[in-house]
Amino acid sequence: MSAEMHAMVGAYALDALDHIEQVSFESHLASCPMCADELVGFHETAERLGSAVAVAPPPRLRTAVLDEVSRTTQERRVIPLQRRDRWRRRMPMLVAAASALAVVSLFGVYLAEHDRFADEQNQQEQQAAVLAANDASTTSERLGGGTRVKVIASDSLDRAVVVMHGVPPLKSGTSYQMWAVGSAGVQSLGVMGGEDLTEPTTRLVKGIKNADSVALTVEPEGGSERPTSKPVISVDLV
Amino acid sequence: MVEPTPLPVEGAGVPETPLSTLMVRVAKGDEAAFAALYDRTSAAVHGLARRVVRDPARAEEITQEVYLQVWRTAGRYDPDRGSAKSWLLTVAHRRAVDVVRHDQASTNREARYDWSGGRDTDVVESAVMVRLEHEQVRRCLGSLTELQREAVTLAYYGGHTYSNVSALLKVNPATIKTRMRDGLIRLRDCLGVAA
Ligand SMILES: [Zn+2]
Repeated sequence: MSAEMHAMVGAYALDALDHIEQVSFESHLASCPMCADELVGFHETAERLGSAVAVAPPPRLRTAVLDEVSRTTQERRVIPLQRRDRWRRRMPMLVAAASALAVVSLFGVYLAEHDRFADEQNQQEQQAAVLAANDASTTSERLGGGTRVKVIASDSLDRAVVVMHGVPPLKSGTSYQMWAVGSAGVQSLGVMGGEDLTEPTTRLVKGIKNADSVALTVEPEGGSERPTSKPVISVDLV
Repeated sequence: MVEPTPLPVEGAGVPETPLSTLMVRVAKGDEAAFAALYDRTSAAVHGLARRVVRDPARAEEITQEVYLQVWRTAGRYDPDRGSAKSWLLTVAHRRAVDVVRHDQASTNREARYDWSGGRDTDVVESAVMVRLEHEQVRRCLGSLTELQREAVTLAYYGGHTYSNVSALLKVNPATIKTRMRDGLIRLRDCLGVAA
């Protein structure tokens, strides 16, 4: 398993992994100083490949960017200082592992634009745990209009990773809401706004162990207590 | 009357401010530093986006998005852990690849019954026959085996996943993954990149 993971570092540096492999590799990266080290050099190498095809953008783009920047607030730092201090106090043998983690937060976490919150590292670890669980079961479904959904569920962890491709865009004033549907009823798994729809859209959800299926409905913005429309996506769990 | 002080000109003996220093200033909200960062890196970001998405209008959008993201999140950049330019280009590449894969998914959706199959061959050629102005990079790419070079350029310039590359080249996916890594190691050493 580990050798297989090390072998992915090149494809990862070139952004050539699919979404699920990327998530598992980032979790490997957090505990593999060897891959983290190699990745630094690979990113510098890729930078040379990128610089070799440089083409200056038109001057109006500069004006537009600087103008937008002057109206945009910057976010606070995401890596809490406390956590960094704690790393420094650890044993020296952990230093390498800590630097591996830092590379992940630099290159991996930073890039996942949709995962912008402080618990993002934690989310990734949980996703990776679901993907690696012994009882993980996968259901794939192709729906009309090019929508594809894959659900990787682990009853023992009571969590599932839902990967959706080609989710139709939302009308303004509406949100998507995901539901766990079981014999005991329907339970909300969370709400997604238009800004959460990436390609693919990946969600880690909790509370699926008693569910027979996972469904997605369109709801008024912010979500509802219970579904108010027919699901646009419904996947039976095995 | 006082003569205006000439602005420092690149290559005129005035050392440039390192990009990493500019990034640190950007993180503190320094717009002038941001403008300087843009001037020194935007050709690479824009050129790379253009190469990957092969659409000038999309490439401009990506460039704009990348710099806004850099402005917003500059505080996450740590100069001890890699160069500012590699950070920028990593962000740009990831973004360009997302766009290309998303567009590809929509094209597949729209053209459900029109599997002309012509596109992939075009893609292979445009990515592998990349005309590189940069002499050293061209020479180092030339030092790779053909399969290493194709695997690296189809992924990096073509935005393909390794499983796509495997299908395009009809070579098993595990081999492609290994060639990507071997190819990058050889390139890194040839370019003299400090690991
Ligand atoms: Zn590793």
